[in-house]
Amino acid sequence: MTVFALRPRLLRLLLPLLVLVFTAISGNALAGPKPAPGQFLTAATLIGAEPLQDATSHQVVWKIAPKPAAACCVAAEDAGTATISQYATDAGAHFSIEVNAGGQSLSTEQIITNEFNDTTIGINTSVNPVNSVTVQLPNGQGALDYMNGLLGENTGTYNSFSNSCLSYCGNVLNAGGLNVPLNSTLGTARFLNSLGP
Amino acid sequence: MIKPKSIAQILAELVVEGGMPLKAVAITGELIAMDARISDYPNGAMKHGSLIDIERAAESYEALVKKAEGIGKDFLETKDRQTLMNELVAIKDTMAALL
Repeated sequence: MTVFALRPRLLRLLLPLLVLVFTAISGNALAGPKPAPGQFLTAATLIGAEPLQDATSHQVVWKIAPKPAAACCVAAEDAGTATISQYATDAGAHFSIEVNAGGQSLSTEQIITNEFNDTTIGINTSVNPVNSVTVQLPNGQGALDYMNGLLGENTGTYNSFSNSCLSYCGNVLNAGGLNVPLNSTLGTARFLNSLGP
Repeated sequence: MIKPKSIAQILAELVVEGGMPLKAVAITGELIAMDARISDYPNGAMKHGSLIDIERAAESYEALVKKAEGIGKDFLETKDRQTLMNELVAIKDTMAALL
């Protein structure tokens, strides 16, 4: 009789113990694998994280959505500006790009180097632009690094739609943290036109 | 880096792998030559003076690439030579505007 009277109290006491025993037997850690030292130190680093239950292994894994680069990972001192200039030549339109960041400035353009239409990136020598537009770069240093890395390198065969002087400017803007499609004359023109006149 | 497909690449694959009729091969040869000229400086998108026109020309080319892909896919499924010929001629007319 006493035993029956104590049953609810006993159950309350034993329940956590039963859960722990069951967990140990099934191999299901309640909180999932513990992060390594230095990992997931603060709640801020877990923004976008969501626990996922793996049905087969009974392990809890963390799926983490990366934060936008401009919002979380680029120091303010890396910011800069880019100026895209358009030139009217006898042959057609031409574009160059100048990036200023961290007290450094570099102006470059894509050049066709031979009869097979190989291209490279050189220091800009074009003058008298007919149009210029300046945009803010979240990662100006990244854009400078990208341009420096391509100076004098073979950057592939020219293509009006996928490897042009304008698509090169778009690639620099992309390296600077802007959402401009890579290797796309169309994407770069769309981006610049979206800025308005 | 994944290189975007060109009209020339799409049609060349169709000639080699698609069993294209000889008459269509002749037109395809013309289209491939045109595509090379359109992709070359200063033709295609870059022949225009304004960014708006450059965007329109590039959009037009992108639409042609999609059309060429569709033509190739349809022909491989239906083997309809007449439709293939008609579509290739239509592409040629639009491509001429980009030169």
